[in-house]
Amino acid sequence: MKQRLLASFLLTLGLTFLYIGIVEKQLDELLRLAKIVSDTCIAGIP
Amino acid sequence: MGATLGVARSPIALPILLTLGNSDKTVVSALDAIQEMLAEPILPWMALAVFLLFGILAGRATCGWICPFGLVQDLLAEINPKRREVSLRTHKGSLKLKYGILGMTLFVSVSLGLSLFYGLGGEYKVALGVLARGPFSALSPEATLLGVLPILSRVILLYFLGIPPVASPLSLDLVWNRLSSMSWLLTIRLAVLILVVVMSFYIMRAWCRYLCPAGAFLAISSRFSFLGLRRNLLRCNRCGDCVKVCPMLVRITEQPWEKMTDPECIMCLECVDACNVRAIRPTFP
Repeated sequence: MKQRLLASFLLTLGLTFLYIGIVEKQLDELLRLAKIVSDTCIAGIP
Repeated sequence: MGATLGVARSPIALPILLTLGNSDKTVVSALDAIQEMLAEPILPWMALAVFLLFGILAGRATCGWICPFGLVQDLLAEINPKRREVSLRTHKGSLKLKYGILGMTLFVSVSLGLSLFYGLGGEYKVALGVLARGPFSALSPEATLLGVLPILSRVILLYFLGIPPVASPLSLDLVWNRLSSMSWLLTIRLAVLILVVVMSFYIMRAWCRYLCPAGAFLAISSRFSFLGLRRNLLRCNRCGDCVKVCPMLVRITEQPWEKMTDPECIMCLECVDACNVRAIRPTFP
């Protein structure tokens, strides 16, 4: 019971974060970041 | 493909380690996104939601089925037929290491994000250098293997083929110059990669078990996962075959039989395959 309650709470929290992310247009932000992340991931090449 | 079908490109964040960089990339690791966004500073709602939702809905199944570094480790384990297993005590102690790595990564990123938010973090960001945008991403062995090494291989191949810009014949001086120009970061990256590859060669999924911060993040919410494994007590004869094949060393027979949602379980379903009496099966919710 306790586990199901916590699972439901975390699911709601996740969906809330997703909603806020969509409202704040973080999908576009992710698309921009996808390119920057690659640069960080290959940092150190001479 | 998307343009042909008239569908707009839409980015996806996944809770795995993923570099495979190219200019048209639309899939990004949620952990990398968290680090990059905090360095901006932006609250990474979407990336946090990815970890929470994947963890709650499918546990660590993405570690078992999607992560490219997991595949590399599985291949390494296949190559070596004489794998070793760590003692249970060492295993249990080492499981916490990945939470430490996650904690350190988040500490650097969150402290940088907060200080930038309050307008104090300029010098901090400069001092961190490349680590500011990704304290873990810049050292990740997966990024070194699938991002750095292919680029380095190309440079070295061109060098040995004598193709410009390196047109001069091979000499000891030139090789030495090349090696000595390696940055400290690259040296550390290669050392980490070698360590992880050797570990994974002898211990199945060693990186996933003990060191992966993305796995640690998922493990937090996967304790409450809807997806789990159920063990039929009437069929189970406690032969232990499921424990022997488990790459994450989960003691399945010691888990609750109704539903097992161990944070270490990557839902690879090796135990389901190994069970001769078909006592284990996935269950949802």
